Amino acid sequence: MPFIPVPDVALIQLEGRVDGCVTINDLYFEITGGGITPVNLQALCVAVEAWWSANVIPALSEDWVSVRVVGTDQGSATGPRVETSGGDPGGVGGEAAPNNVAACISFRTAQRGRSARGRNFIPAVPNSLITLNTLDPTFITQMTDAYNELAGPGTFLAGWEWVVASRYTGGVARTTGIAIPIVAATFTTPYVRSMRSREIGHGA
Amino acid sequence: MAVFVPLADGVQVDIVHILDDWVISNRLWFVYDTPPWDTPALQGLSDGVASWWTTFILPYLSNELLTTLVRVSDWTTPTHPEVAATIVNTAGGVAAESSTANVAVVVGFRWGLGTRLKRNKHFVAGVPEQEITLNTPSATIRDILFEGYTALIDETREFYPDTTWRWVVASAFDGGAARTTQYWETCQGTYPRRLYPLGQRRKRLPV
Repeated sequence: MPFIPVPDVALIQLEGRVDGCVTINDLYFEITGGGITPVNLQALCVAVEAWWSANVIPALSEDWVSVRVVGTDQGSATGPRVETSGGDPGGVGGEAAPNNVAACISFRTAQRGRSARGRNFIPAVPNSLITLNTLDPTFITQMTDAYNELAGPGTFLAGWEWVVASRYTGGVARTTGIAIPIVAATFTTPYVRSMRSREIGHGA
Repeated sequence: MAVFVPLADGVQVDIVHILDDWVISNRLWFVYDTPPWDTPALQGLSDGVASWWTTFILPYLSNELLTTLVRVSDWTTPTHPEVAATIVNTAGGVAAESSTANVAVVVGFRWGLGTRLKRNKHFVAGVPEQEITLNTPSATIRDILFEGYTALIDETREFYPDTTWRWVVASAFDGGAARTTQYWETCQGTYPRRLYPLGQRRKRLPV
């Protein structure tokens, strides 16, 4: 698969581990007023790691542990890459739901279509916060509030804006990927969703 | 549209449940040893499967799972009409919360051939949350499922009329191509109980 550049966009990968399996959540940020450098990429990586640790990890089961946060310049195949270490376990002292069970939060932009939406499958939701298939409303609110802290130009971190990155349209690769600003994060359903690649025996 | 592949002298049996207001089912295949079958024989199979399920499996599942019926479909003709049914309407026997609907214990069925042809399996839903630790089904629930599904081999031969029905593992495709008629072998039981993993059925989740 060829590399498709997305100019002035950084990918932040939030990596963790639960029951021996890797979990990865991707977030994209676009820089304004200048290119991506190791220095500003590192600053973004540190800020996102702090946000993740303060707002999301405390709501996850202690069965999950943060491994690292990786930032990569998506503008070129040889752009900078940085990472910060993790190590924080989830903050809820109870068993997590099985690995394939996730809370799916949707990222919305001011545009329509699949290229203009993103999502995260939040791992290691505590069993105590799921009633049969339904997520606890408090958990939904906590996650929605957390992710909405990222939205808005320069709101989360000066010079950066949280975006959806799109590299394909109609199944065809774009020459250059595009970035669309995210205006809100929301749950489209109170029910859990599936992340098959996180099942034991799949993935890493 | 899915291709219909008939099963000679065979029927499909659906065990139908409701979990969190969502209809889900488990499927089994049976072949009649002394064709042609008649209505009492089909009803005997339907009642037999219902009795087996409510005796050997359902009592150990969460009471949030409601088994509603067992239905038998004639799989010798493309219209595969329903030819018998048994109303069950019985909840699981364990008063405890079920695992989410996309979580199931996978019970694979063995047959006389090697491992290359696709085998049948059940994704057992409604497993009590307490019987799953993170991603591992408890030894207790694995023992129960092993004994329950193993019992189906003998139970089937006692369904009315005696020694006529046979629980089979069926294969409709070969190398990606639909067969003319399903290939089947008598089911020899399940995989070893220690190999029952957790699996997922994402379409069982409410939307």
